[in-house]
Amino acid sequence: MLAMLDSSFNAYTATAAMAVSCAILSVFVVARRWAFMGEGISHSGFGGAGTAWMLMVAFPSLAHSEGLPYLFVTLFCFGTAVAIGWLASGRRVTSDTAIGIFLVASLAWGFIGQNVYTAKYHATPAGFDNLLFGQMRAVSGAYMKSSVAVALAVIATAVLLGKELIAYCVDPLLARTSGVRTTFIHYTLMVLLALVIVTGIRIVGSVLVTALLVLPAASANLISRRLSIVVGLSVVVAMIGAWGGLLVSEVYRAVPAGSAIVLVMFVVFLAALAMAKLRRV
Amino acid sequence: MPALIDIQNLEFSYGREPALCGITLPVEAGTTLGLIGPNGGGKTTLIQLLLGLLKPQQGTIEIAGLTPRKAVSRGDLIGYLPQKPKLSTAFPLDLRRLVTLGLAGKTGMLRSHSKEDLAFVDELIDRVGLTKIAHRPVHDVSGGQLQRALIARALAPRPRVLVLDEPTTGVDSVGQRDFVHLIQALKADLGLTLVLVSHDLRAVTAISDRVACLNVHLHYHDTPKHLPADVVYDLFGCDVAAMGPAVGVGDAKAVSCCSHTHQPLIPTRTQEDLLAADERGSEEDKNDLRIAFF
Repeated sequence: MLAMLDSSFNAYTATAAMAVSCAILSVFVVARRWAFMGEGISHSGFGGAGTAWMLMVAFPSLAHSEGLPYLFVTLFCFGTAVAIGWLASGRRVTSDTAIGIFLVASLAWGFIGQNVYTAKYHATPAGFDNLLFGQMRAVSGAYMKSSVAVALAVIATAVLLGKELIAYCVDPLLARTSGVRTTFIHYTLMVLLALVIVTGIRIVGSVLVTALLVLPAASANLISRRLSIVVGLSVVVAMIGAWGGLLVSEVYRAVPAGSAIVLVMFVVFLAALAMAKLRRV
Repeated sequence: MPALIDIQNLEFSYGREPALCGITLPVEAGTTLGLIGPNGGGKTTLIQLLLGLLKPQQGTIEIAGLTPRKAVSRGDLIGYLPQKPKLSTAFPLDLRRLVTLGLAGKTGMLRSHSKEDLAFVDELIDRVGLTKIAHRPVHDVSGGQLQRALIARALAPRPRVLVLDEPTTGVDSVGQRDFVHLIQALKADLGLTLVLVSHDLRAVTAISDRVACLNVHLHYHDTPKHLPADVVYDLFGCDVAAMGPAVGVGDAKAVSCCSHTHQPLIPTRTQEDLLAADERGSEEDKNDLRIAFF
């Protein structure tokens, strides 16, 4: 009973922390039109897992290592975030092209890894479904603490580098010509995105994690055009989605938590859209 | 008076395509340089070099003794008004915050803006006539109001140099007149050195102390009243490079300002001549005037 309470506490705390991180970052992601960027980074995690599965085939002693896929998911997410930024910084490859390239290459590599593993061990790799669609049951204390640490890192960065982040997201060229170190700010955002996505993949999976980086700010922007209100509303929307989704998943056990979280946020977005339309009328 | 912006023997090319050749162009402190020339003549490249967005392949640019990159990174030396700012439409931002963003580089990371700088932001917002709508979202204001906010943004860190890229493009005649008045007043009050890039010769001649005509080479650098109509015709009516033997005849140094050489042209009639002719009612010269001004 105590273990269940502990797990429940961990799950609600971890989702709350993730909701706050995603909500704050979503304001910048939506402003920079980086929804596709989130998609590219999160799907690269699948390529990381594929690498781990191939290593498990090459080194059978690693076959039952639970942490190996997540280690490589993390490495690939960070690597892809930095690589997209680097490739898109030149004049020859645009940002969306760079994202598209890494997205499809990671997926292809991940599927090869999964098939090689399945061919060797005649079973789907452990955690395959969780990687794609998330898993909220049996959330560990360590994961909960990591989520809180990531949330604190996002909040601290937003407070300490707020003016630079805003200047960069409003217009990178104007920011650069005003003396803002835009390259540093760009990679800081990329690293934060990768951190939040790696955390979010555990909860909602690599397929759906982008939703958490888009829906909060997209909903809030429909209701207000004031920065402080938009940030506050984004956090509220993300919290409603996170805890609402968890509750739905607990009541209806067949509903995965990740999908429930995303769909609750989507319903909030529709409500915000209706409210915005009604106010115009 | 020493040059605040000192461009010496500047060369830049995109691959094998030269964009700027042998440009030597000093800009004295407190003056306004009008930069004119045809599309593809190198104006935008020169602006990008001045802003440190490109590096000179040969020659040097110094702004107050610093390379452009160092000058820009200080945050309080150069202000920039882009032709078409690509402001994110999805970011919740009011005019006052937009203007305040101009201080980000000057203030520096992990620091808060000083009270004096924030007071100056409010003063600038007042100067450009936006106090009543300072808290309005940037996407709910007109193009003219947004431009004034961007001027205030560029001036927020009290820069010594203000670079204006095609500021009157798409602005009606009343707006152009208001813009000229505003810029002249701000220049006088803040002691600015201006670099104005424009196709609009009325704006250039109204504001500039000197005009530089660029078409890969520097073709003219002098006061606007000496600007030969032929130069204007060559630069805007047709491509100077395509003029062939016509270019190279005559000696532009006769009307040049300084010791460095300019690409020679055929100075014949100045705008003053054309204006005088216009008053005499010559239809031919009226046509020339239209070419000269537009």
